[in-house]
Amino acid sequence: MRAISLCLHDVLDVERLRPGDVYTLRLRDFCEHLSELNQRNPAVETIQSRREWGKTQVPVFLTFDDGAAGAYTFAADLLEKQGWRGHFFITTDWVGRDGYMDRHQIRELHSRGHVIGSHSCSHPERMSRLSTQELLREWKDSCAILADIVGCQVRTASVAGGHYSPRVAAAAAPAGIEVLFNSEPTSQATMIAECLVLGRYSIQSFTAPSVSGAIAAGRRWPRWKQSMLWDVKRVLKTIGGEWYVTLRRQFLSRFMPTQQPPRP
Amino acid sequence: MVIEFRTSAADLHRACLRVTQSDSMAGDENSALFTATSQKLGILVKGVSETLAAGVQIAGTASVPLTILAGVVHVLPYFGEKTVEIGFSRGKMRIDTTVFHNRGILLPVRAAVCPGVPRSETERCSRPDILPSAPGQIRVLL
Repeated sequence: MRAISLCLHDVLDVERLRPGDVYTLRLRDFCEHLSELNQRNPAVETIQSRREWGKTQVPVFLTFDDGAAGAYTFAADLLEKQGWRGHFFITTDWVGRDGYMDRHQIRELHSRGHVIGSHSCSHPERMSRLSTQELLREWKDSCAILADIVGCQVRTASVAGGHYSPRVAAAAAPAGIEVLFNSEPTSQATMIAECLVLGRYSIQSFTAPSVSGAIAAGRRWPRWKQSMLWDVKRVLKTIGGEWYVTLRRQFLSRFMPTQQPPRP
Repeated sequence: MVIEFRTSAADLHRACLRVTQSDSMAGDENSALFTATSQKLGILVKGVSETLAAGVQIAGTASVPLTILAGVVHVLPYFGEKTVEIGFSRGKMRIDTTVFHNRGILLPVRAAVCPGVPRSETERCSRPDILPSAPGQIRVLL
């Protein structure tokens, strides 16, 4: 199976983002991204609507991590105007906190046809370093909370922090997760245990709308560029280990306060 | 790939579902046998079998752990395709371009090539109860 999935986080109606806030899109930019996607005419759909025999086009999945309030306030409405639906991956410990969706909003998104999935309970910095027991707890507890909110089983999830390993997927399957999105920029699906693992291309504040359109249209060059950068980052993560995480944390706390876990 | 065939995704899903949900699933065996012959695919799990039409390019038999079969049942609908190309080699099952890696995927018989299709790589017989035979035929000693 091939699928092109785009990974977004928050959308804010502001003129200027805080310095270094790469994961948030300005509303104006987000509209341009959607317009560009619309012009390329990709098969934007959800993983649940994919469950029909006879689809031929490579699907494009739009995903929003963390459960940020902006994804509910702006992104969902704008997707619906295009006749599209998205995937919203919720960090359950952050539900109802300042800047994040509450239970009512999550339920409403589900009833409007969007896919609600897990993004772990606590958003661990390095999910791949958790023990199997901790991974199981992150997936099972978050899925149970979301199932309680939306009233049906949650079958999709995305890996928090981008630190993925096959163990992360293997632990997701017992929680009933059938489709797991990670952050590896690839259109190729893999299969771990009983879990279908799909990669995603990241759309950040500096990503030009033409690039997201080209990625959705299946152009190779922008996808290859992301893939190369990801490989470099993977080497740094492997060599740097905890140092990489510490440096990243310091960078985030200095320049990206909105990306820090919200206060209870 | 040592075994290769093309079949309807919906039919394959239904067949896998039937054999995995059968009452006789309580047995000890933990694997399913996929047997691709001239234009048919047979799936055998603990005495329960399903047969469906398939365009077989490279015939043969593969033994697949039930956990993988359960995975196929779960994820195949997400593929959304009308037909899928299935391939087996040692430790791998491929559906279109998606590969399932599992050491339990075995190719107990020598791959037999359909007439007119060039033979690909062959596998050594790893199960004494299933012997290689002439191309296009599979002999299972029970």
